[in-house]
Amino acid sequence: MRPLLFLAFASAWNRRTTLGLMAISIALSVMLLLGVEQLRTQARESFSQSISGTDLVVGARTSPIQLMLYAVFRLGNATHNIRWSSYQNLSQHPSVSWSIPISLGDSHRGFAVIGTTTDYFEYFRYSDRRLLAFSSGKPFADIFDAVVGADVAQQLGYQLGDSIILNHGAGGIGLSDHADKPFRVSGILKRTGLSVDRSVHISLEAIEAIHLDWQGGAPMPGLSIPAEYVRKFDLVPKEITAIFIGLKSRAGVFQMQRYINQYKTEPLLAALPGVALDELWSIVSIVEKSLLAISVLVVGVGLSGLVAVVLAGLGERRRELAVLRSVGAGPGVVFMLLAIEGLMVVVVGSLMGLLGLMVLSVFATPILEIHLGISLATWTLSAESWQLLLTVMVTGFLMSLIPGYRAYRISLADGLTPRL
Amino acid sequence: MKRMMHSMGLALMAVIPSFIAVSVALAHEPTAHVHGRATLEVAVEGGSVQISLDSPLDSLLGFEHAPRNEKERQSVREMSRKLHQSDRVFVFTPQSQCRLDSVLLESSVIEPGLLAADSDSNARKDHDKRPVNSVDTHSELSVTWHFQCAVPESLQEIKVQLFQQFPALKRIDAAVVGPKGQSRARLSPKSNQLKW
Repeated sequence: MRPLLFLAFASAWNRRTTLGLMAISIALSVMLLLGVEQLRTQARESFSQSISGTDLVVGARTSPIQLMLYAVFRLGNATHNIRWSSYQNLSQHPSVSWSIPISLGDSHRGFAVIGTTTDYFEYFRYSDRRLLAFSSGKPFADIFDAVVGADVAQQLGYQLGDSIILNHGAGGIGLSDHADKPFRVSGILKRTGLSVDRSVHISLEAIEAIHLDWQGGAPMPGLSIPAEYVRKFDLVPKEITAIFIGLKSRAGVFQMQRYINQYKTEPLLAALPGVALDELWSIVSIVEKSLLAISVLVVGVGLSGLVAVVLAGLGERRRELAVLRSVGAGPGVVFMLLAIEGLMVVVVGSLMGLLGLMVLSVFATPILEIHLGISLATWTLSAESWQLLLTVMVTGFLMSLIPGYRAYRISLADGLTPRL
Repeated sequence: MKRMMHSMGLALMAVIPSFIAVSVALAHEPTAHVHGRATLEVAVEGGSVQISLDSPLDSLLGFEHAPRNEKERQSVREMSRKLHQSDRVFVFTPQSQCRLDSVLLESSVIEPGLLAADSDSNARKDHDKRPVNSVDTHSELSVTWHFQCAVPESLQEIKVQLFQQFPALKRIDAAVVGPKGQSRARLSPKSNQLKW
């Protein structure tokens, strides 16, 4: 077997350009296939982990999917806000264990600013009931305190006590900022791998305070309330964007959902996060499936190309095969030689593809995190991906048996003197 | 003084019905009503399993008004009997040993007597009763089952056999809150299992 492997390798090395190109095309197709699969599974995981500890998400009446997207993943915008009084009433409902109000809308150099209460750090749970933890500092205590996520601190180089200025709205050129009321970094959160990492958390009162001297979405001309005076104003928020609710009994969730959806004083929507996400996945599954189908086809093209190249090369290798026969190699050996060659190219191509994917995801992860809030685990492959990779290799091997069989036939028919 | 109390009482009595009317109107908020489609809510906590079904009456009964003659009353009884036989409707993982605790059927157009477990005897008593609400629009039936399971850890799946019992039912959107969190499933006659 060993000399056979060596022979196959030496022969392939002789034709390294063609076979190398074939391996690259297989690598690219494998990269596409695994990339689609990884993105699909990890996006799901990342989404469901960020909300796994919450029983209900409450917002203005809209579609549950939209509510989830804007309140939890900061994708898209809220249609309406909900009244502060609704939050107060719901949070005192006997079956509610904890509730976290969320107010969105401002940003800090591209990162979302979340107005909330300290309950957020105490109760918000992710991936199997883990709580948020501080890597340094503590929750906001003063009005102008801010708690930043791990990515915010890392990318902008923030330390405890640093002064930061929030932007109004989504930020960017032409949009005003809240330069007159700087915030102080009071805490930095540990990395979670979720959108929390990319958020700046301030208190709901702070959201009110920075908009005190604003009206109609712009600073009022001629009126500026200095930071030291804002404490004299009534800073109780009037409205918030959404509420995360945890219940005392998980099973009571349907009853609570019905209660909130029929809430009398304001049209509200309560969404079950897990159910809403499943609904979202069932909608995008058709896109996922077609992407997967396309990448499977591309792999098919790559493997057929390999077979075509090896088959075409057989004509040139008649003399080589005849020499092998003359030194005593049987047709079976010739067959094995070709099969090994095919397998080699497929395995090398697949491994190159895997490596390429990992290198690519190192570069793609920050971009995906910024735009979609999805964090990819770079170096791990799901069981399904391994299965796909194995399927590609086995299929490639089986397909390379075709040129093997052909070589076997040729070497039988040609004998020692091929007519060239 | 006494007269004043009396008039206040009268005023209160005049106001109360309007409160009730408001709460009734809110309780029946317009929801999506698609014949052939029903929603199912399954909540599992500890040993107790609660399943609620909301379905257009049409999918279970073939009509959506109060029964007008003996034949229609008979079909209501038939439907009610099927829904009360919970072991024909839901099949739990056998090892979990789940037993029915209670069933409650509610509809705005059918008198409760017809929907009770022993509807044959009750129906005669309630025969002359005015239906709860006889407006001929779309109406629904909601059913709530309570089960108690002796070995809840081994409860892995529930097979929903409503499709066999009610062929007009084509799709059930199920939301499940179970030991592994929340999930959603779309059930059809071909795939009728809820797993978690």
